[in-house]
Amino acid sequence: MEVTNYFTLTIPAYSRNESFARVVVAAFAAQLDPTLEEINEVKTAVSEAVTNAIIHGYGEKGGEIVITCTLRADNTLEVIIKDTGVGIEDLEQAREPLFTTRPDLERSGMGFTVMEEFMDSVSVDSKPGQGTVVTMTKKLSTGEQGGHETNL
Amino acid sequence: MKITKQQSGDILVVGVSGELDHHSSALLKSEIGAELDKGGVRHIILDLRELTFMDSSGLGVLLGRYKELGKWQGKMLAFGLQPVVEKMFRLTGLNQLIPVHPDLASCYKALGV
Repeated sequence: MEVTNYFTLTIPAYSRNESFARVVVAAFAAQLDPTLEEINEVKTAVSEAVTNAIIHGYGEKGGEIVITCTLRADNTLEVIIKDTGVGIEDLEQAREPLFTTRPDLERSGMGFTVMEEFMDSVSVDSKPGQGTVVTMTKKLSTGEQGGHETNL
Repeated sequence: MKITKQQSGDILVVGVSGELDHHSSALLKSEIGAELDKGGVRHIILDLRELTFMDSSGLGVLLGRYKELGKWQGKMLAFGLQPVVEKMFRLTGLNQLIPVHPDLASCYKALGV
């Protein structure tokens, strides 16, 4: 499917960049004029993936996160969030609801569940010691389908 | 994120406005923790009318405070959820632990006040 727009953003893995990351992706997706609910779902999924990279990928010790967003002609948004942190030992276990490696930090273990609920597809590619790539897609409605109010 | 706190008897009403994520959750944890450390708080009512965003990190910090209250059979209730926050409560089952009420008055009523 033809790519209609894209961007790549590299940010330091600081927790103060979590809100920045989700707002940037939401602003990019907003050009299609999706519903407020869709925008909020995208924001939440991005927040989960970026937070995972900061806490689990880099252990809150810095590093870089690369966010690549692509819009396709069929109004599908693809968001790729990549870190080069420690990676995930057991992907299947990591995606189980309520599983967390950091109960000490009061992590709920619901990050992947939320991503899967709010996006159409979520795939995770990870190698221990090399990092993690989370790829999420969501087909968005457009303003032509009813006229939406979007508040970022 | 802004936090307001108001205590009435053994009930602490905590107002949370703005966005509750991993970055801001530490502040909420310490603000509530400071009140619990003083003693005298049994139950917490969350005023979430002005909370515009919450991800699973916010969920984690609320669950943590819920567990603390459980040490003395205290309850945590919430009211005023915006749709995006209400969806997170429902999706994660948080509403099973932290009952959601339509307003502050019904929260007080549920606590027998």
